[in-house]
Amino acid sequence: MQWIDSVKDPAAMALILVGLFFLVVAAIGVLRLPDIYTRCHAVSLADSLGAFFLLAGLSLHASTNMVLVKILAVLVLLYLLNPAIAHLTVRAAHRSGLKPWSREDT
Amino acid sequence: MKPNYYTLLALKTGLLTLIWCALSSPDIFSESGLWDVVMGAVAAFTVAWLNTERKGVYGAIRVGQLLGYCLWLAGSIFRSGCHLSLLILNPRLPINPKMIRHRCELSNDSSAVLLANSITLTPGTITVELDSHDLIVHTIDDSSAADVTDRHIERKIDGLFSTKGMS
Amino acid sequence: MMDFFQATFIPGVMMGLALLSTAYLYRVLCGPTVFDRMLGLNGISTKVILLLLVIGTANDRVDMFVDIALGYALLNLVGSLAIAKYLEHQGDAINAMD
Repeated sequence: MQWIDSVKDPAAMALILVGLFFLVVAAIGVLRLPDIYTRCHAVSLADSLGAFFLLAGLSLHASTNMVLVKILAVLVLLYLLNPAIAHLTVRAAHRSGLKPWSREDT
Repeated sequence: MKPNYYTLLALKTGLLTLIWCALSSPDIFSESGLWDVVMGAVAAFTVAWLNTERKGVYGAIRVGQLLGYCLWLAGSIFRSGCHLSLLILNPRLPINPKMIRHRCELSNDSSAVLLANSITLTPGTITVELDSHDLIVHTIDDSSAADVTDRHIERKIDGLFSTKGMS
Repeated sequence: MMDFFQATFIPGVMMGLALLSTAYLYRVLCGPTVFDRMLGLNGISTKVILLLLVIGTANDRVDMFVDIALGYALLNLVGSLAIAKYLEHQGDAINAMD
């Protein structure tokens, strides 16, 4: 079982780097996209894919099973709460009458 | 699986106790650790008892299919996430955002909520309003709009809950 | 002697996450509508939750930091819920621009 230990850290690093890539893309999207509705898509990208890969990498590096279970609990909570928050933000914008940006306008 | 009041109560208590044990990680071989688990189970039972309606009508849930659906949803999130990253990184920014009004053909409220949640969780589509069976969905380009309008999420959700509402 | 993962890589990830949250901070400070500020705040909260877990990994005490992260995630939901409920009844987009 020696080879598992030697491959664990590089695999964790690769997963964390993939997660950071998605987080960077989401940050670029938050700066670049034209209005609140489209920016919300970018934030949901960071929340779902970026957080998933980063936490997968961290749980691969985790020393005990209990730590792994706790990190998975955080992941499940993020997946349950973040869609609700995104939906709330967008619904508040929609109900107060904010017009979505569209390609025909400009 | 078609739960009645008592199995639902037991299920909720067990799940909450499990979460309690995962978060507090007690040492069950010592006396104080055992006490921890007992107190957690009592608290979990109280919460489950307060949050289960005795007179409620509970529809059946297909647990195996629900797990399969979660796996399929994870794959679909990954695919549309890669698509959205390519859109954002493209220098010409080829987005075409639209508001779509979508009428879903699902028989009960639980399925409609699961559909709205899945649409929001998938990058590229966000549910703006959910009014019993009318959804207003904001989509970022034509291919993510097609994900909603071709109804393949709905067909997968349709069999998960039986016709009776959960509430 | 600490290995490369904990001595070099994890601090780099921490700095990267802190830098990323400046993009959201720009949205909070300069966002054209009040909803952009809310979105930026939500993005920063997610980064802080991830950062807490990374700090826990750096110190080998993830089990302690996870509880703080869970509390932070729940607090984030409650805060966003209150702000969204408050802003929903403003009625017009002119009030939202400032």
